[in-house]
Amino acid sequence: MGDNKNTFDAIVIGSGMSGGWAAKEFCEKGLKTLLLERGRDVKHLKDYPTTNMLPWEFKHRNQVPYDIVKDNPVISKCYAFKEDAMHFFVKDKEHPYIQEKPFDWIRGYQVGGKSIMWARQTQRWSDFDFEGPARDGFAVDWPIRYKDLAPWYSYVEKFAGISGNKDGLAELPDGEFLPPWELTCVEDHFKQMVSKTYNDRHVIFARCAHLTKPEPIHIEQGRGQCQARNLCQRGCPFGGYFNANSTTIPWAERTGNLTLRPFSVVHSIIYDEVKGKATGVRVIDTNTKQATEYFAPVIFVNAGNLNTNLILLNSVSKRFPNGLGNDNGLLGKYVAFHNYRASINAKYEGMLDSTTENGRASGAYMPRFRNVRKQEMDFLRGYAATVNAGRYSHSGGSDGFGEELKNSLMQKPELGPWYVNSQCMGETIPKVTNFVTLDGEKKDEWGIPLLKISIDYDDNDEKMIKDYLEQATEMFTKAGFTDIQTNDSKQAPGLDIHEMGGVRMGKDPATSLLNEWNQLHACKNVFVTDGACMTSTSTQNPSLTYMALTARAANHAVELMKKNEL
Amino acid sequence: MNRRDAIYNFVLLSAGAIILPSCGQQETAASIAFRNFLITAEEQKMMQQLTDFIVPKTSGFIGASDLQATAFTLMMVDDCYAPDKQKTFKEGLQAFDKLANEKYGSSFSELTDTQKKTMLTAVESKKDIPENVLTFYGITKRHTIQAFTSSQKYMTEVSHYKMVPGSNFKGCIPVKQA
Repeated sequence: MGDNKNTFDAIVIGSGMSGGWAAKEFCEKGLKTLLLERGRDVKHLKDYPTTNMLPWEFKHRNQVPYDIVKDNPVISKCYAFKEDAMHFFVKDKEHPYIQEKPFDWIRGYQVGGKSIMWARQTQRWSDFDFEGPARDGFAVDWPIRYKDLAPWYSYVEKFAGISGNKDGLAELPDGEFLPPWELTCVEDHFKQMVSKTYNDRHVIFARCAHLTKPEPIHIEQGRGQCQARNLCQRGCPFGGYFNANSTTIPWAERTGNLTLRPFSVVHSIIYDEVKGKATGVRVIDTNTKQATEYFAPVIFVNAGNLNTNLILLNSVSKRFPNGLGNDNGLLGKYVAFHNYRASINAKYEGMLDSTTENGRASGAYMPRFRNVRKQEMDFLRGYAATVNAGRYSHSGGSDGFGEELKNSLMQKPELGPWYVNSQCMGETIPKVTNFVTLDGEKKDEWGIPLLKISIDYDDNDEKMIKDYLEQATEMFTKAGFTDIQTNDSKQAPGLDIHEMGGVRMGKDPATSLLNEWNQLHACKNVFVTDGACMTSTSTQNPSLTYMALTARAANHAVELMKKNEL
Repeated sequence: MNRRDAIYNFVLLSAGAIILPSCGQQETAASIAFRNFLITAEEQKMMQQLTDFIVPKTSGFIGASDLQATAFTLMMVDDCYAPDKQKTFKEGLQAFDKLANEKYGSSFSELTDTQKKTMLTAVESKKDIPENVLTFYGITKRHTIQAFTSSQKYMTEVSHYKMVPGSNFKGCIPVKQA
């Protein structure tokens, strides 16, 4: 295989949040790396067609036309699927899947994946999270602890650029932070009330992947300071937030070691029965439908959580008739997600002599306060919450018509009261009954079996929603907020876009798929470092943890290769 | 024709094909076929009168006519509404003009300003107004206001839209006194 043009030192499947990191690490270490992406290429700046469009330049003023909504009942539920960014999401009909239970699978098939449209929240995990399954007796024990990941959190934070405050909280460890934005007056008022009233609850500024003050490394990447446009989902002309397109992939490219192959969907991983390891991947060109095989001694699977499950399930051989590495039958099982159903909003009629100026790209955050140090509720685990408070200007109302209406619309905008809202982000418990499998008959247009998704909420989630809404109401009331309205969206799992697991890490090959370095126990040269590897979900937005796990695993893979141990 | 008019006329033309009147009909009978409905020239004229009346051009500032609010409204109804809403809109449009004829003796386009004002006041009151007329009027008013408040001139000179606010967020400052 040595001089074959289809042979590389490393293959990375998927070019999004985590795959971009694997490619960067390998290329920097001198490995000739093939980065496979099933969608089209999206070059930073060049392929952000709407990035500088003004509101009045959108034909439908950012509304999605009816026919598109009708044809895309799943994807059009996503909050970011609007006229300005809908080109970064899949079309439902082109990428079918089977919902055994309602599941809104939100996908972005292109170079950069969903890192283009993500919400850019980057909170670290702590040992209260890693020790959760062992302490509370669900899933399996994580094979790693915070100390294993901490240096890698630092490593990816410095490169990606994370803004935040050193808050000194054991439940949400500090990181390598660029300056945070300020809390608003009312967020600060809320923070003061919470810290006075509850000794275990904290309100902080959410850590987020924005260059509030670029360091030399970010300038070297060609990125600049975040200008708080809040149009991130279009791709940023300043490179002000982290996405793979502006950061990891160009960095990999400039080493000269990267081969990026868009329009390449992976059918399966090739397992060599004699060598006892994976030797490469079968790729289908999405345009020509032509199959090609590529080879490398190490393969990273970063296809995006459920698609990573799909590829492994579809990688069958004599040795692995039920999917690659699936000796224990647990592949595709114990999938979990985040419970994003509950939210609350209110008004505040105080502090009317104060307001805010200009924009920021994140808000306040309450780390988990339930069951942190010990089990104390009638449900397992807990929830984190966003908190945002701001004032909005209103011109006059839209009553009447003619000059009266026009004068009202032309009035100097008046500041309204403070509006406050909060969103619950709950941990869900991985269960054997939440799983994905392959359909035995139905295939997509590239001959790949359709994924069947069978995932649901449980009683623990319902209790958590009830507790969040009660606690949020109590805290809002104590802060003097009025017109409090609670909401349970009843949205299906999936719309949180935080699906995790199915290829979980663990200590024991009998009860997990991956070891402490994200290697398949039964096929050590295949690594899974996207959300599929997650043993439990905790409450934090997970991308930062995927990035850190990926950088850690890739560097470990290079070490093993040097020692000829892969 | 300035650039904006050119763009909006293009929108109108690209959204619908002009259907030439058949033999014997007057020129004013030319219709515009949108993807999902047909609007006669008469109906379009009536809507233009209506949108101009909702957000009039005044000496100091542009109005609906400068923004081709009628074309914008029809394009939005054609592209962004479900078929049943489009049907109600179209029926409501005709019922609106019928109401003008019944109550004031002629098509809305032919009413005096005073009559138009009386009629719209009655429609806004919603009292004894057919449901489809309310739907038509509500949709037309909504998108006329949208055409106005999302226009470049309004967002630049009235609401002071800043696409690039900059890095200087202030979380808590005194409200400036006007």
